[in-house]
Amino acid sequence: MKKNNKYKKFNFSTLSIHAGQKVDKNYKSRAIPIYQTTSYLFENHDEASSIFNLDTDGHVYSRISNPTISALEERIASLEKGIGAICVASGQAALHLTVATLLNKGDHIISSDRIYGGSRNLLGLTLKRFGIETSFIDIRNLSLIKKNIKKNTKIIFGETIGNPGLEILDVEKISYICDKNNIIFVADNTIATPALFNPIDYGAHIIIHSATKFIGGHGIAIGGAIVDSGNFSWNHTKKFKNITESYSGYNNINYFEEYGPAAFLMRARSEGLRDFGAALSPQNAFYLLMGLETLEPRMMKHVSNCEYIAAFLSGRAEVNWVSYPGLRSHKDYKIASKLMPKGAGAILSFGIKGGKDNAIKFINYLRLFSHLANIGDTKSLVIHPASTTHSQLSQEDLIKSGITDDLIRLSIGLEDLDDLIEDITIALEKVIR
Amino acid sequence: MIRSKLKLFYKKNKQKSRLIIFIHGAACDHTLWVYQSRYFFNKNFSTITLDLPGHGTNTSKPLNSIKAFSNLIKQLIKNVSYNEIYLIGHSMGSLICLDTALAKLKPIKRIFLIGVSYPMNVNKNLLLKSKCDQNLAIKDMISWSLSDKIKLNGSNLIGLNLPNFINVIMSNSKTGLLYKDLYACNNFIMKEDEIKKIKTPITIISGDSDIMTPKKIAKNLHDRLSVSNFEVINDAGHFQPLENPIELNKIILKYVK
Repeated sequence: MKKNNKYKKFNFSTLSIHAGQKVDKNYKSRAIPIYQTTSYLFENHDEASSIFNLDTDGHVYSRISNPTISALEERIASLEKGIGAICVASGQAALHLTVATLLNKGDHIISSDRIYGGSRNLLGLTLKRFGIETSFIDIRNLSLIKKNIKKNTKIIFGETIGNPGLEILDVEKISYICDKNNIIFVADNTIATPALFNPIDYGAHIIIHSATKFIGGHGIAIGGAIVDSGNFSWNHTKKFKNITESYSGYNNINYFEEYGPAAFLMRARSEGLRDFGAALSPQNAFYLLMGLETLEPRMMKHVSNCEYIAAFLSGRAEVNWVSYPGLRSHKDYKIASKLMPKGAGAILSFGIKGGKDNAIKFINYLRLFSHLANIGDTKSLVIHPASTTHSQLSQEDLIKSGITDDLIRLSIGLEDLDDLIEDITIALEKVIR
Repeated sequence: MIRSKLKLFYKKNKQKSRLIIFIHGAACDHTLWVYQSRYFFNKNFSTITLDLPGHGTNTSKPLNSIKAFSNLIKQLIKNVSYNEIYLIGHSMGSLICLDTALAKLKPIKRIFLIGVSYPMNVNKNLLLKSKCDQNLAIKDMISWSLSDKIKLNGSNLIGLNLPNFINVIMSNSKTGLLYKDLYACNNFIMKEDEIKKIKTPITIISGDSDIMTPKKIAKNLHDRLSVSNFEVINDAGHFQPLENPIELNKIILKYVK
């Protein structure tokens, strides 16, 4: 064997532009083509049966895989340092597909209580109807996690940066607890993005994304992603029978025996996408690929704008408090500085004096910020979570989740910083006047 | 007895006549062959993929020499009682196949050597690194093993990131295993006249971008063998079973039909 240093590993920005794209051999299209097709020709019956038997990898039907989508999958996997990825119709579809692939009736999840309202609803109410129970706790409290682990606990779920409270998870310590107890740690890395933080470096097992947010960055396409680290030892436990025992849905295939570290992804695709059908459209995959190309420079600008605005709001008399993990005053500042040295995202929340009424007035007075239920756009966004994105929560759950009446969430975009500051200043002054 | 030393993944075909045994390389396991074992099973072959001692799911004590590995393969061949057996080895596995060939076992009809060179002189720095920092050595090996196209533009496997996938397979090895394997490769010796005396047909398959076992060196082995064919897969490096399974399967099929 001969050593030759000419081959090297590619870095983040290079991967975000090139990874996963196999250049079109027929027309040499430089941009990734949008394969807007439902199905794919087989060369012959031999190839058809071979792909259907999972003997050969190949595209059959775009509900299960598609060349534009698989480019996105490989690109996200490479940026998150995973062994592979599956892209789906939305972030919610990513969470659902992960749970539905791994868990069965009677299983248990421990979830952070500081998560997006839709995820809380899915875990706490919808999946409960199918016999999957979830305990919601503050998973920054490690002893609370240990107390809540049951024999049937199979997943611990949390957002690396919580929405909208912006709590930061100690991914390393939670991963350690998971490994000790043969539990999968599913980390939602939507707000941090791989440009700022790679949870796999700290032992997280599965990463999910709402790619709709910073990954796309343009607010034009809904999509989700599941990335597998490949670092969970499926064979060290008998808990995950869907992975380690034969499955009659594909001629009694044993996914772990066949695919080893890729067993989860293979089952999620061959069963989950086939049966549940939450497929991403090729057009949306293309938009998300375009977004990924500029992820790193965008995140740097998002973060610098956000850091400045967080400091600015902290000094305003109209403001009760500011929550941004990049501020020393934030309860998770220390862990944020350790895990996310490039910045703790571009979302911040703050409490306005005068509570809900003034929060709503402030939002109405803003001109540049868009009032809508999204985050991670190039445009700056604003919302009042207690009465919108998290309104389905009970008063008790709102308090537990840290969503107070005075809380306003800002997603800081890429506009000129002076213009954003001016917009906020005018709105704050009008509220108090 | 043999089953306690080799962890076997056996797909038995109803027509029990033809068997393919797949042997993985250094610090790898049976997962390497997922796109060959299923494919050839559905082409009416029985297939065995295996985890060598100390590899993958096999918790037996690792072995120190290619000879020790090939002794296990010889025992396996005797135990399974097939009349028509094909041996396919990758990298270190190809040396195991080569040594098994010396035994002139009747059922072996052809041997496939993938990512092979003989002698398999392991770079001294790599050998040292594998002893001191296995994970770093694995990263180097992957970097030299995969073509730039695979590393940057993606794999031929849907949604999989091949460098990271191979890294996980190899990194699951216990500390010290890679060194033992590389040491065994480095120290495997066959006499030139032994190479000439191998009469079992051999197909050498080389990746055109392989810098672990470059095709020039693989071709050199082909030139020294009495009965051999030489095949090259374009846009593939050292991990051809995963890098370009379709092309590899086509080549194997051509020779086993």
